[in-house]
Amino acid sequence: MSRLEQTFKELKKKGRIGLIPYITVGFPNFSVTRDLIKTFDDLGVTAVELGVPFSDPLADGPVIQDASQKALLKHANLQKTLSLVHQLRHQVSLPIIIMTYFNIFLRYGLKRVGRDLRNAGVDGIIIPDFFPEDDQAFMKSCRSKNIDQILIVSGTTAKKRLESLAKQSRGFVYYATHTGTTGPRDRLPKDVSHNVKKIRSCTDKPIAVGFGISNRGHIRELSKCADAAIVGSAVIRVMNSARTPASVVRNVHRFIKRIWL
Amino acid sequence: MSTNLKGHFGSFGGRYVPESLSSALDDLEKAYKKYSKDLRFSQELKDYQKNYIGRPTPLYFAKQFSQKIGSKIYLKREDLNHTGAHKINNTLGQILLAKRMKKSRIIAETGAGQHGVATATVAALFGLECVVYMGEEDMERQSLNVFRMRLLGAEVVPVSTGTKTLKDATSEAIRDWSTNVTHTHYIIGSTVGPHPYPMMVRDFQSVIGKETRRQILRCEKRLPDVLIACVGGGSNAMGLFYPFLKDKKIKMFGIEAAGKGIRTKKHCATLSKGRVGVLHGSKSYLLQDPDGQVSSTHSISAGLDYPGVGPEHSFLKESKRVRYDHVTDHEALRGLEELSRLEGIIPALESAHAIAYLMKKKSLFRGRLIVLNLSGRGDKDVESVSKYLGQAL
Repeated sequence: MSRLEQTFKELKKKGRIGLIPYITVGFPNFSVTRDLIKTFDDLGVTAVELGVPFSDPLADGPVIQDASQKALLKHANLQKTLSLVHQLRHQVSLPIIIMTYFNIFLRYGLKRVGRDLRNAGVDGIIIPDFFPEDDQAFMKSCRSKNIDQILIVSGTTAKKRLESLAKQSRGFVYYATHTGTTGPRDRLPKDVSHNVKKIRSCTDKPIAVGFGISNRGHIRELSKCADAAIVGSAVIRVMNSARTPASVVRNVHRFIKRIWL
Repeated sequence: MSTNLKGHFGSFGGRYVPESLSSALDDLEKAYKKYSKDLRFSQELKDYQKNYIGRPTPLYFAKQFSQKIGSKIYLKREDLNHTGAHKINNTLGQILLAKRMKKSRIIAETGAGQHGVATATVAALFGLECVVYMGEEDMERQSLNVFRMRLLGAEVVPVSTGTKTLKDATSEAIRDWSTNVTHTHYIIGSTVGPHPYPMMVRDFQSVIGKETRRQILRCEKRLPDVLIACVGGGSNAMGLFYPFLKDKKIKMFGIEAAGKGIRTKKHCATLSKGRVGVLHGSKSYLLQDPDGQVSSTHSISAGLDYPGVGPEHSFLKESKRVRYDHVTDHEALRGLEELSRLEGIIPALESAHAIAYLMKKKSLFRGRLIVLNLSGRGDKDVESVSKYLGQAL
């Protein structure tokens, strides 16, 4: 059983909704990224999603686009992310997921990426611009290295495709509430619980819900249907509003406690 | 070649986009397959091509230019289309499709503004709401086209992220589409993007090659030896080449923009200097750094200023069916001046790259029968040209 599956199993026993915060690696710098991962581990979140910045993030809204641009100025890349994970792996126990666009993996080398992710201690990957039918060989190689490739489903995904994606997804199924890009919204769309139920009818795997989740109310609402909430842009926004570098970590800590604990 | 079931040209193409677009792409593919065989659809398309765009465009024998090069050169006059470039062949086809798919809103990206104008034009014709994304830098370079689009009733949205050019305008258009996918159709302007776009855009542009074939057989009683066209995303080149791909004796040249030289970082010669990557929904050659970040590019011609290229061109490069080469800003300008003076035709800076290549590699073409795709007219470029030459208007 993978670390992600194990974590979700324990979560189910506790009977509460999990939380997966997203941060962009290297934003505003690597030392903050390192401190935040430790903080998340202390807080006992379900997993952390580390975004490796890409110059053209099609699935991201302005908040994460901006963080990505700034992280690129700090020369953040996949290799540095893997060394960071490698350094931290023995200090933290939470599952670590890497989120990035397909070109980053393609350029790194699809043949070696699975092995290097494994060696660094990465548990899962999310690629928002990847259709499984485009590269089955890559999916297989991740599986053979015990990297959970988490697939995203959307409200517009057709039923048959939904079944196939849920079946192929590992670790959990990622449901994106809004069509379009990431970014905090005031309200959850009305069809969330309906759609989560639809996914539930095709799979026993845990379902995590992301895109637009930004406050305590959203998470409370999601706890009725989903296994975990993914919070990205809202975390970055909290980081942006911190006045000093030292207060970034403190503010994120407080924010997570406020919305989830 | 035609694509396989999943939209690949060899190992290129595919669908690398957010999941929220999966069903829209399936719907689009289904609709395209259905209507491309539908007699009433093709009748309507033909009617608009003839009476609205002004097709067929002439195949003009450029006598003076031919003498200069030492070969026999015909120009396929896509510059004479309504709105001044080949772009409208595609926008017209796609909007007829969008109407049948009951979409109420049209979006597009644009670099030089030609595709934006061609989209705004057909949106006006069919009374659909139209939003065009354009990089801030391009809006400045092509202010005339911005005004034309607004005059046609389109909303032009400035894109200020990244390099502020075509690449970022395309990303923004894809973000819009994935958000508003249920009622919006995205008219991509070139043979790029996720399947079925590269195939569909090529097919709508193939009218160029089909006409050329008929016309050259009529006046020369034989097929040409050489086809040549400029390549940015690659739609005008695909349109000319595609109906001739099976004629193995015909040599084909695709000319990219070398900007300030391919040894500098200021160029967009994707097929010469790029590595295989994924951008805007398909796998193809891509200008990128060792980390996989997409490079910023440069060309005097906004329409070629793009770090990617259509996946079918990558396939044609690997299979060696088409030869890809490049010319610089400076050479392209000389091409523009030469054709203006010799033939009284001011070509678009994009097309001037193909002209310049014939001038640069004269010996390669001596005595050959050549068709060059004159993809657009140069009126939109006179301001950039005068700036480059240091002559105030």
